[in-house]
Amino acid sequence: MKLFEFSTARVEAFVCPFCGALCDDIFVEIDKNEEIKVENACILGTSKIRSRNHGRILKPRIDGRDVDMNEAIEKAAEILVSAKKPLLYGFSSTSCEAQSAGIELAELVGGVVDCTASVCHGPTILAVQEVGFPTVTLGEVKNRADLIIYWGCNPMNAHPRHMSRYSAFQSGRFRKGRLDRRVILVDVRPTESSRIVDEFIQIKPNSDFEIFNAMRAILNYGDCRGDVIGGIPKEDLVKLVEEMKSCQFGIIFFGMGLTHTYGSSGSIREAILLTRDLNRFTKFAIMPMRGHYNVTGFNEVCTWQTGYPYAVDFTRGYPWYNPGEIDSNSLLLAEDVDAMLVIAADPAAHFPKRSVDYMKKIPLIVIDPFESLTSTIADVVIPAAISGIEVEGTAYRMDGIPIKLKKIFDPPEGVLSDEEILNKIIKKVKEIL
Amino acid sequence: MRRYIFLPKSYKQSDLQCERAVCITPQEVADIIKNSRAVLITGGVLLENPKLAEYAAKIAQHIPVIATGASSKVLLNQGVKPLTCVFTLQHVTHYFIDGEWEIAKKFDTAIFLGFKPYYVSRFLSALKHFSNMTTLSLDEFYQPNAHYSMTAFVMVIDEDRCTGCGDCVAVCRTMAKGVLRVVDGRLAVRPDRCIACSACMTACGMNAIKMERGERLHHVLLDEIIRLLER
Repeated sequence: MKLFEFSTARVEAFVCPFCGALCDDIFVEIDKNEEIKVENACILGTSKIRSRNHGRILKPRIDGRDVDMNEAIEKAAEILVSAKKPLLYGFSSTSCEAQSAGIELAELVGGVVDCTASVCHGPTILAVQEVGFPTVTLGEVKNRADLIIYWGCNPMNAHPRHMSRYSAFQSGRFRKGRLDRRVILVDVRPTESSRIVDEFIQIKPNSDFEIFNAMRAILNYGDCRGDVIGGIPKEDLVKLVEEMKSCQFGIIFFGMGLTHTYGSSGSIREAILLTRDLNRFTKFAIMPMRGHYNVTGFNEVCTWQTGYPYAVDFTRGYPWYNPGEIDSNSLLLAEDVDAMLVIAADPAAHFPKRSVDYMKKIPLIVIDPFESLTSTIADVVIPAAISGIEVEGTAYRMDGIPIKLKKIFDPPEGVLSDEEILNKIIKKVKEIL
Repeated sequence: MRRYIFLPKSYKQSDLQCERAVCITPQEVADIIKNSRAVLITGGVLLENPKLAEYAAKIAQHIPVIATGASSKVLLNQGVKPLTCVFTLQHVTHYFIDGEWEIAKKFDTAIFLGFKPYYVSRFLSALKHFSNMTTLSLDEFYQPNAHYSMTAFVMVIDEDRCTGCGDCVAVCRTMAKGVLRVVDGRLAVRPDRCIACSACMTACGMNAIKMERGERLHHVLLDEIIRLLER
């Protein structure tokens, strides 16, 4: 593969396109023998950068046979146009430019556009729409936070550099590292993260709503009913609330432990309301730990283009938003779509079996750099360049800060970026329509 | 896979200023013994520490021994006959520096085992500055005045557990930059600047960093050297 511009290249402040933390302090060095040295990145980011040639799709495929790019794009456009209600899903591991094109395509063909948030932080978005979002940027957390609460998440595994770069261990303007901060982890079981926090609170599974509600009662009225709430004695809860009230700047980071247990969006709404109530006493904020590096980006792009953050239906000719009815899984389970385009995601590996069974029945188009479970059951497979490594673009960090992705390699011969592929499909669709 | 990083931890302020010895692994010690004209110089600690005497006797099967400080007693009990057993370390050092001693002429590398660290340190310094001998210390504590020194003070990094999260890098208390770095998703250490404060160990949530030290580790290292020599 041809190297990008220089025979020996050193890219500074490279942005790691893996998780929502979107670390932008990575150094990448490539020497003449294509040996790649990655500094500062965690094992996840390093693997993504170094193993970009592993399991690549290099040729477009239709029903398992290699075809050329134009034929595949033509076939994809045909499938989308002939379908009554196609579903466009994915978009989390690609740039905002491609997401924008995807939404345009969905509008053209009158389909549904949805991102991986519908099986991830969708409940967060629903809660935010109900009660608002008292949040901050990660820079403020780094510089000011003295109480950091991780709730239902395991940053050591999912966002390895989150603690060292933005929160617990990093020293900022007003906090000198780990000793100036108090870190609390709330989870249903001890994890890797629980070893390095000051206090680990183990709660009963599915009791988050109850606990947040009790904490709000304690905060607002000084007392709550019951002696043990969600497995925590009331005295401990009172102590925790006191601690939250008396800190100078607090933040709650929450993850899948809140979104995918009983009361999902309800618990998050209570968490947000608690944060809002705490702001009467001190500065407090809340932030979701977004997974894919640009899943926040899709919500932003979709909101400014259609007015809604995810699960947007264009079949009526105008954007229609009703998650629960028109998010990907509900549609697939109800067998309500007749074609599907998956881009930069792997739903076959993560969706329920019945959804995947239906995905096998309908025409399925996959645009992805790598072989995945979804690409093996797809009718049309179109290879794409890896955004953030082979293509430039924009991505949103978990706190909603847009960061410019950099390019270090040229994509393989004949492989286009997600944006180019979608634009070609749009052009083809316009010709057919 | 576990990666051992030998930390040159000095015990005296004066030793911090000298040119520092290279920390070596058991493999390197075995290579030096095999590929040079080495002599083992044993000290009085062997009398107090029978286990160490056993190790000295095992190494003596591969190279000649000069016994000092009455250590010949335990070695003779184990069936090892030293080249000489009448001189103190001070004399031996003088002879090495002098270069006229018949025994000294045969060797180019002196390997020290069984000495009190602060005692042997001075002689290592003299040999470093005034003789052509290469010196190697096999004792438990790091000897900065030797050319090569083994040390039973090790940072053990569990490669399978390390996620390269950088928590240890953020808490590293050393004033020097770049003692800990994350390269290719793994922790990279500059042992010569490490102050062995163990802050990284406490910060690691994956339990990937451990500090090991002490006599037990020293014996493990000596076992490894003997295993490699006998291979």
